[in-house]
Amino acid sequence: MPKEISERPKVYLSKVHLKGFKSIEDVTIDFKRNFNVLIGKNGSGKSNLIELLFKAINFNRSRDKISFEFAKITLLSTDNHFFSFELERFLRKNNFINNDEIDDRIGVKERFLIDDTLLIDDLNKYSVRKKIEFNGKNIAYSHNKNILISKMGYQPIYSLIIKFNSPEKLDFINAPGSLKYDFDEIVGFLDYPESMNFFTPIILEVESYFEALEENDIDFNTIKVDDILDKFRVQGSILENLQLYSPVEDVRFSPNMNLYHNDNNLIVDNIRIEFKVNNIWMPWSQLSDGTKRLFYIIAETTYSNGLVLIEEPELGVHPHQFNLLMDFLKTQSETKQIIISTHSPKALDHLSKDELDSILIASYDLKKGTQIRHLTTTEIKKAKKYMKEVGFFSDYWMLSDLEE
Amino acid sequence: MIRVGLVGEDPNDTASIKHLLEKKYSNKVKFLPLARRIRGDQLESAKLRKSLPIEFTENKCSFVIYIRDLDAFESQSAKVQERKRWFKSLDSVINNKGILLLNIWELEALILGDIDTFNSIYKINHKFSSNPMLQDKPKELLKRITSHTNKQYKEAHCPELFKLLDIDKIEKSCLCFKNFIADFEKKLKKP
Ligand SMILES: Nc1ncnc2c1ncn2[C@@H]1O[C@H](COP(=O)(O)OP(=O)(O)O)[C@@H](O)[C@H]1O
Ligand SMILES: [Mg+2]
Repeated sequence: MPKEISERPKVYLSKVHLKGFKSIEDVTIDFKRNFNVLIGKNGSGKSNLIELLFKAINFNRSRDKISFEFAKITLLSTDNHFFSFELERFLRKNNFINNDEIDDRIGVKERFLIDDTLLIDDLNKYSVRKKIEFNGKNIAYSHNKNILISKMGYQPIYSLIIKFNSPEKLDFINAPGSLKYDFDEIVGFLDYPESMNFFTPIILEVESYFEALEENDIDFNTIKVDDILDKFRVQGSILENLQLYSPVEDVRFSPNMNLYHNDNNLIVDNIRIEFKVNNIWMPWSQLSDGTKRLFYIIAETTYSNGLVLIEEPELGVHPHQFNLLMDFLKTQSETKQIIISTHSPKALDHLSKDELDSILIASYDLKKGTQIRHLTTTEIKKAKKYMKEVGFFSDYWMLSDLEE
Repeated sequence: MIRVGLVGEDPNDTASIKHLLEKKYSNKVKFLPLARRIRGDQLESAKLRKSLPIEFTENKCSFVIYIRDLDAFESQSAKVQERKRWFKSLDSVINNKGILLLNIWELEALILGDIDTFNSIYKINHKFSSNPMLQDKPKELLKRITSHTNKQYKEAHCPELFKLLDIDKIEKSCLCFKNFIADFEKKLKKP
């Protein structure tokens, strides 16, 4: 097994079977390894699907209540193994518990299959220890998919969801954040900020700097803001992509942070990042809504190593800028799987004629709920005719009967 | 000043070639991209056949340079013929005076023609002394040799990268570019 996690084989979402979540009653979907585009009229269930995919992939029985009836997630690895995780909600028949409290009776049955062989069946508690065999090795089964995938020798996938509305709380970005380092605790920082994911390694870097100070008995009075400012650094790959694909020319942590300490802890506060646009440094509040969204998508997608789910990336973005954003997403999808939903004809024009099978169409059926399908071979043929004889794929979408 | 139109994947291929040619011709030629933001596939579309004559006339160009990737070796003559047919047919909607820059495999082959500059930008030391015209998938090669550097090569780097390449070196080592320059010089003499 390669030591470097980034050199291990990867897994990506190959197929899902989902039941019982909002408008989704029963759907089965195949995904492409790189780029997938979900279209469909308002109310067809695109947002529901994206939310459910994220919930099912990240489901953790020790943390989450199950909010759907059933999910089978099949991952395909780059060395051609299928790993399927099944989650099924059930109601415990337990007379000891007050019948009124349905919530307490909801359980989750879990199954796990490798290459269609059932290895874990109907596991319904998380304290049960089970072993599975893979590649001649015995591995302790974990209900946490990422731990299991890691133990089997693959890169874990930390999936990312970027919804229609940005989160309200973004420490370090739309509000100043603070970090409190406690000398007596085993853990250094007491609270991690609630913010974008790309801050995680930056905070870890600062934390290990403080740990080193503590271990070497360095007098904290000698530490200045400039010393720590140097540890707060946005990843080079994020800065590069912002420069290439957005109006943001640079990002830095504001030099106006404060540093205090007393006997038990060290506090850095007023931590926030600033953005350089048109050669002027400004706070988040002064960025245009479109620029905010571009920053969010570009920073977080660059940071992510796995499945990226994005709702309507075109929101608030100028068409020329959106063109660049799509170039960015297509380039990113060479190394990580991306699923976007969109109402933008421009987004579909980024697919070449050989990529039309990456389009997914959502529709709402009164009897069957949300339905998801790929283009049929007849539709693909017709689309190619439009692309040659009329113009672009979007002309087919606009002028023909694709979603009738 | 002679005004010359550019048609190719935009802005990547058009801006790259514009920057490269400007090194030698900026005192006599003005290069104008005529199909903004067009993608590889869309170069075949009927829309371009309609918009190109408008842009050509409004921009008062003398002729057009068409930039295409062959995605194959020169010996694959069926492919070459297909690209030439595309070029002739599209150029016929303007004045039949255009020239084709057909990159063998792809634009990145030209970067291999001046590997020293590439090495110094990406701080690597890749030895490439063979003929760039015989390298398949040069884009993949450039990504591979920079995969462990801080800044991995990306297609989107091309426009800036081409500003730094040495046009004379590329002309010497890439036959497809040398032939193109010969055609281009002829055109400039009697457009
Ligand atoms: N709890 C629910 N149960 C059943 N249907 C729901 C529930 N919540 C929302 N819906 C239905 O889901 C549909 C909206 O789906 P959504 O994913 O928001 O669509 P869009 O494709 O526009 O993103 C609506 O038709 C709504 O009635
Ligand atoms: Mg929606």
